[in-house]
Amino acid sequence: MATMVAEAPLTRPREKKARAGRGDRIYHILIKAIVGMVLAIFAGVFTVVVIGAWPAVKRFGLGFLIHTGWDPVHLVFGALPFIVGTILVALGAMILAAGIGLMTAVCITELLPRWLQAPVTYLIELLAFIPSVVYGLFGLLVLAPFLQDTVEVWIMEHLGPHFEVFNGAPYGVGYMSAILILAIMLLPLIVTLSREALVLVPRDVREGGYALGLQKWDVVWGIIVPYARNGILGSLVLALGRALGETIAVAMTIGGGYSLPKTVMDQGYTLASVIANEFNEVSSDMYLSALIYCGLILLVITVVVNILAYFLIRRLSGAHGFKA
Amino acid sequence: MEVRDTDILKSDQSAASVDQAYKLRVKDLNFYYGAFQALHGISINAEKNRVTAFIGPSGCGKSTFLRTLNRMHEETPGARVDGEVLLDGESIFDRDISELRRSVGMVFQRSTPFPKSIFENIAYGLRIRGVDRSSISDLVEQSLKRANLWEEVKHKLNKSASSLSGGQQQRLCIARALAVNPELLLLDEPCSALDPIGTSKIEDLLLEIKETCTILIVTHNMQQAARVSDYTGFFLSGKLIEFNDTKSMFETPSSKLTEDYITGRFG
Amino acid sequence: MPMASKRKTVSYTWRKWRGALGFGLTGVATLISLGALFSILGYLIHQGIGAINWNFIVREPAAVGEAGGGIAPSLLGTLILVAISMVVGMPLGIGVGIYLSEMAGDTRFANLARVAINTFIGVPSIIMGIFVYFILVKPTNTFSAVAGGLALGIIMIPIIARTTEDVLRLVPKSIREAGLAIGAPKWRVTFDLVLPAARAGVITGGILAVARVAGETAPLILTALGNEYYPTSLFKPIDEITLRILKYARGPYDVWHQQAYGAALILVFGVAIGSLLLRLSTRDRDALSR
Repeated sequence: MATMVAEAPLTRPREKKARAGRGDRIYHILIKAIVGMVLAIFAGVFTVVVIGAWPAVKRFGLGFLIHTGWDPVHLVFGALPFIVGTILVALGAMILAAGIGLMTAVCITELLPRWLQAPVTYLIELLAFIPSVVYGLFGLLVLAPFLQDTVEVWIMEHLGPHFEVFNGAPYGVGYMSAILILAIMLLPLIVTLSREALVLVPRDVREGGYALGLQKWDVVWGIIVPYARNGILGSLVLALGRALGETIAVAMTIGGGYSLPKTVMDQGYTLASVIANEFNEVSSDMYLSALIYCGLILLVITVVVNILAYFLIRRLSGAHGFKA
Repeated sequence: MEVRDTDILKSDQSAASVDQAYKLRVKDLNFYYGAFQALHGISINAEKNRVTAFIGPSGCGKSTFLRTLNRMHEETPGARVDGEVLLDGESIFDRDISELRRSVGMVFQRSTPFPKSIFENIAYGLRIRGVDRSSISDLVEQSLKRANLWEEVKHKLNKSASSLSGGQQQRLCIARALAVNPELLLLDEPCSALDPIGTSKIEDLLLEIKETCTILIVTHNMQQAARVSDYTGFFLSGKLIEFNDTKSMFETPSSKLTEDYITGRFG
Repeated sequence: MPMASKRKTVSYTWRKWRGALGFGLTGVATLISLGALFSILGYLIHQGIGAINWNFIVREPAAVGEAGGGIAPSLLGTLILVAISMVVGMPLGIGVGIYLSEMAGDTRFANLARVAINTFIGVPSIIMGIFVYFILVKPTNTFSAVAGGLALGIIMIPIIARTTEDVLRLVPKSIREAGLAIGAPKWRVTFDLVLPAARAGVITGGILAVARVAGETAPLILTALGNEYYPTSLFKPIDEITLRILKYARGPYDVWHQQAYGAALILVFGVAIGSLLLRLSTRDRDALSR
């Protein structure tokens, strides 16, 4: 007795949605109101920064980005040294931290015995919980004087005469200190996140490599690290965002200066640190507006980096069929 | 729309005798996930105080069918239904959704205890329903007894429900469904994660509770369907191939497809 | 792997040596990482422990450059700022998390909200300071605890929203369906069943966000400013421990430097305890899911 009904037109559309009860209606309205409010705050942040920067934007235009000179008395402002400073400090710290951090992550997951992995990971995670100002304190009072008395003197005497980039004065605070401190700050972020990516590599992928008769080193660099590269890339992108925006530790160690750097020991500013250090010194509305303009540039840079990273990672994970 | 609604109701009332015999009547039910049609013109009548089982290979639409009966499909974005589903002669789509779900209990494949104590797991549903505070603990005891679980848990009602075994958790879920006195109980492969002992306890339980409510059960286990059900429907590729009383279905299937499935030639 | 075939020609001994060398380098890298940690912590303890005593915790700062005095106003101010930030950040962050996990699905608006959240996690905190400076400090003409707390709260929102969404998504769908199946309305399913099931994770996210903002300095320079005295009003400038560290670190006096180390040690100790709690609570969550 097959019950295959053929009388089609009897059906009526069921588009009528379930009527939600009063509690659910209030719940929906409340949650959506919260989301609306948060999005409004986010939009407000952009708007306020643009409005705050507007007088300087109107006065200096895009030339602000490519001019040097920072003169609060005559109200001549150009942010190029800070833009260059932001990029140099972030890149320098990233190169150091990415190299050491990635190797540390490999060491933890592939070399250390199991019982040592957890405590070492925990110790390095602890480094991530130390607030920036403490790094700044250490950089300003310990690292900078140390560099000044030893490394920088040696560099100046031995490398300075041969390379222009090392031909600076040993101030202690300056680019070198800021880069080193920032690199130490980025380490835990890179180590913990790339460690997580490496741990997630399935066992059969590893065993597949060994089954080919490869040495452990070849398996690690030829198979495991490439397999985990999305996670590793993700950790680097996060670290880059942090490096571009780090404020207080850099402000404490970079020394302060308004011209383009010529040597690794020069003093200078990044976009974020110039705002932090100069904000309470502002003497005119145009000066304030120029600082906010720096904030606007920083905001645009970090948002663009974040969005590019988002698409990069999505393309990579799509192209190779790896599941996120 | 409203006019047509009442038209249909009238014609149903004229067939009142049919409604009394059948707890649930489904007429020409189609189900779509976006552009994909998962159910094709399902029509079925389920008798009061009987167990009706649905069998078929996985992906045949039997669970989808069950989930439309308490409108659980409305929680899935892109799901759409047309056709008639009448519970006691009244369309389920015209009823308040929460109220409908209180009269149509559902038990899922994976036991789903709430992150609460054993007692609270059952009391929660009662409170939702607005049951008087003073009668809650009596009702909890009653439903645990109906689910044959009382003796095993009466000393640890305040323990977390996740401390129970898989079979006990599933009986707790049945107790939870029974607590609000449903007219219809839907079970979606309730024993698929259980060992044989847990399974047979649940099967015994079903035979007891059908005295008070109508049961629809989806199972991939044909022996189970044969043991517990009075009627059986066979689904294949979103179509109801055959629907009959269980004995005839298993002994003299009228469709070649049913016969092939029952004798284990596919699925 | 094309590398593998090329390497077949390389002699076995060389491959072995290269592996040893490579792993040796990773070991050196690990020692550098740990060395950085231990030198910072070690120096902090070595220099800071001497500054910490009862007076340091309960006294106001001494006159400029003089010995003695404490950081009590900064500690109190930190608690007040964190409390205000939680009042702002928790409900908004958790609300957005609930929206993304329980209501939004894959609609265009939901994806917009997700992109906004992810973008804002990456926005430098000093930008939030600029925002609050213009909407609160400038109009009221005063730096204040409320402004500082608001800036920290805004920083918290996207962090909490994302962790909340993540942990709510870990709650099995079956619990929601079971709740709906007994006729519970959605809001009760969310608040009675889903949130309790994800409690440990939501708390973890909260601790993480608090630890993050408790160490923020940059936005506070533009909003809370700092203060030498105990807070008397939420609408006046207020001190905070990282602002105090910043001031003392930059000052010319040795006694300030020592007190900066002391304050930093207390701060690091505080966040270390926070991270320990975090570890314990995540362990609980692991145990639950098993």
